[in-house]
Amino acid sequence: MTGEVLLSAQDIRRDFSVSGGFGKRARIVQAVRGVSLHVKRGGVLGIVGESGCGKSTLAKILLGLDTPTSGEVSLRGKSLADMSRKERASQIQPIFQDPYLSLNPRKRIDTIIGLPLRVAGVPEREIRKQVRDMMDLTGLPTRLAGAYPSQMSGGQRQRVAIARALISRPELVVCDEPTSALDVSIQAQILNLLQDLRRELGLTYVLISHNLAVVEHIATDVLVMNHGEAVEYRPTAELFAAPQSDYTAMLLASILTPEPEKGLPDITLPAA
Amino acid sequence: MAFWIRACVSSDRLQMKEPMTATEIIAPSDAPGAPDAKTVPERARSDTWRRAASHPGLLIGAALVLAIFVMALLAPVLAPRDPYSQDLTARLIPPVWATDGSWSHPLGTDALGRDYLSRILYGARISLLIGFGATAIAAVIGTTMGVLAGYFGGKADFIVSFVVNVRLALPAMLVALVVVALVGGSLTVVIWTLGLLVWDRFAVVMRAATQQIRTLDYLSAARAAGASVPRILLSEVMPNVMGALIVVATLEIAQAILFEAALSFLGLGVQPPTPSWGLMISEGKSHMFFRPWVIAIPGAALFVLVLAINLLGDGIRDVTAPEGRA
Amino acid sequence: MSLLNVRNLRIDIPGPRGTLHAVRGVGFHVEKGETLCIVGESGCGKSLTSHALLGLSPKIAQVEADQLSFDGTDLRQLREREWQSLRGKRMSMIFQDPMTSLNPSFTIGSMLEEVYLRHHRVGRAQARARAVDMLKKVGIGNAEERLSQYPHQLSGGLRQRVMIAMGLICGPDLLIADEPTTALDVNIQLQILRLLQDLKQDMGLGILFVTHDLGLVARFADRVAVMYAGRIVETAPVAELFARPCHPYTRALINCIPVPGRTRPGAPLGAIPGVVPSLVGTQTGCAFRDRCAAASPVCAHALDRRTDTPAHAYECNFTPEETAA
Repeated sequence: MTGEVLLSAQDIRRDFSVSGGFGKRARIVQAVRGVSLHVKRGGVLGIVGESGCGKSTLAKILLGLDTPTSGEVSLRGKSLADMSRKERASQIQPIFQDPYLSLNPRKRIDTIIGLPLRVAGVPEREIRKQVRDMMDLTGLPTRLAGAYPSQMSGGQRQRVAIARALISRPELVVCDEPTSALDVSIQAQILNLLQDLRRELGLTYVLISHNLAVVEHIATDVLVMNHGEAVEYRPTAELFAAPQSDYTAMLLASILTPEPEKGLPDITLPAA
Repeated sequence: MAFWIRACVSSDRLQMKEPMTATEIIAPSDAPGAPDAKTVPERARSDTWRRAASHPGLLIGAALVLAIFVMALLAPVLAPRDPYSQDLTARLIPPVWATDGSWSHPLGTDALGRDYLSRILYGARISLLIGFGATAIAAVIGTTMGVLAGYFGGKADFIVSFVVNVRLALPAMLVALVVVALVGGSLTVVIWTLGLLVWDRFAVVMRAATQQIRTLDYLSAARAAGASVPRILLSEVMPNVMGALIVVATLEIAQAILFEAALSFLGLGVQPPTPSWGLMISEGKSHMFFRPWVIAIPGAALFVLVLAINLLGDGIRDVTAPEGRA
Repeated sequence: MSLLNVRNLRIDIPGPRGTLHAVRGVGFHVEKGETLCIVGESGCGKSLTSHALLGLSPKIAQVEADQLSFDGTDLRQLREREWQSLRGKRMSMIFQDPMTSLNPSFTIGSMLEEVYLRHHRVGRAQARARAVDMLKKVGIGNAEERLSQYPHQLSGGLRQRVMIAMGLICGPDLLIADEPTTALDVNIQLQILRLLQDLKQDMGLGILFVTHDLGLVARFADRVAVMYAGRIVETAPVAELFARPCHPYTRALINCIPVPGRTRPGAPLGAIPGVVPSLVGTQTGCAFRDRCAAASPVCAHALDRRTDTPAHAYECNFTPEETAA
């Protein structure tokens, strides 16, 4: 089961042109500057970095929602660019950060979860059955099927987002900060659920997060990004045991673990 | 006017951004007491209804609009006489509350002896038909343009903004006058002329509403689910901009009704002897000093209908508060 | 005498489905040069509590307290004018979302100077120098340049730091901070925390810090108050709280977070089952009982207030040894 590379990205670059206002020339912002990665089947790749480091842009590219300026993303050796919308959707699905923004407020829960199947043209009866199954699997009481997102708690909403992502049985799930909008006790529930589902369904994750403790807990490999570049890319245990770049070391040192005796970490910080 | 609407739509949003609303601070991310079995969807609906029931403007507006609708619909049954039949022996009879009024013509008669009550009832049909017809045409044009511009941005946005600006530069009333003068006045011509002229507000508001949600993750999720662009626009975007659409539509209906009255008053709208309120005012204008009711009655009808529609529109916006529920 | 003293604070919010008793009798104190962290999950009442201390409760909220005093002043009796002379000068507050307290149509410089001039009889130039000084203190390098910029020209992290500078420019005695670093990157967060710690040590600033981040609490607080469902369920000096959490909720919360080097990667984290109870209506007994593994029938109507050490109090019917079993 392991060993086979599921997702690979070669030298991904993404430039945005930012208009400089009236009469000024547009600037080019390089959000991602040549990142390569590969994820083995069943693995979890953690992508960490601070805000604006390009990790969310990279996530959108891996999901096929954005096209890289150059470079290629391929799933099982087939380029995303050559896939149809529906083919890609059946294999890669997202989980976004804020479940308050990732669920359409005007749709009922069962409609939201069933969307990927409906797009794929699955008959309505089959969709209903699978939505129930998926709600069971993600720990959502089926009585909530008719509810609207505004009537649910944050944790329940994120479960809905997970159910929607998994209903078409994708192989790869790209989780963009899946727990950072949630309370700690809910974060634990969702992380446990993601772990259980991965084992149960043989999923592969790309986990984008700024929370290094979460990444350490879940990921098998970690890619550290800074200013659009990959600073360090190694197996989790190695990276946490002995970071090679100063930047990674700084990130690791700034994790605030619940150990009062240590006080605030004493590290030299780059000037703003 | 377009700016005024933009301001009122965006002030709704501003309200949400106030630093401290009670719900913001107290809303637990894990809601107290998980929603119960059946009550969940019902509760939201009952909330909306409760808010509606305690909104006097909405209730009054809705009641009046409904009443006028029923009157227009049942005009053949309710009208005491044929609105077209003239009776030159009974010209300019005052309404029943005047000293020499009589119950045979409760609202009196016009200069040709036609029963005013019957003409008002039939006139409501014209006003509503034009209001809703023209607005429906405008809504389709404006919403299509606005949603496309808002969703795609870039070139689409540039083109739509240009077209909207061109439209705003045209004096709508004059264009309508010219068109009607050239083509000739008729109900159909008036509806289409107005419909093709008053879509600008729809475009502006729908563009803004769509822009506000275009980057939200539920649209990304739909894209990631493989949904096509038409599907995303119709099934994911539209329900979320519907609130704004309804508010604009009510204002535009009122606007179109007034527009028709103005055109008819100038003799370029609906042609006699069709009973249109604007036309009735126009026909009564030579008698207005000695028999003020000939213009006061259709004027009042127009005022009540437009006020009712505006009250209803404001009420719907307050009650559904599309953004607040998200 | 404590800098801030709160006894039996209650906040009720009337609603269509009954009154929400959001804060149900909360008491704590903050000393000069001390950091008290209130930690809890969303909806526990921690934000309402912190806002009430500055008279910034939402209009519909009914705030009552047996005591609410700041440096000898009874805050319950203050008029709006008196509030204004206190807020910003001697007590100030910083929020999670900087856009709510920065006015988009003024420059950073004019806002900072305005705050300072409102409370000090000095000239513009002096206020400007103070503003530059403050911006440098919160880690903004090219401070003079920033003064002429508008909030929208700054990144989120910079805006946050400007707001913190605004909160600190008048040299307050008490700072109330509601999750001010949650949206910031880790190194900026650290920088702000260090600044606050320095001010605390050098100038005797008292800090009431509201957060949900237990890691931050452990490293930053002197004392901790854990809130759940509108009550403080446990309060203790920080070392004691983490060494020997006595309330089952505190313990569960600590077990929820992954800690590199401590939790085994991939192993299930300790999650708390169930959801927060409804805060509408009266509550008898322990609010945590439905989610507590050690709950017994007695928890439905009784709630004992115990002390582990003189400074370490918790509300539970059992000792930690009994609940840990």
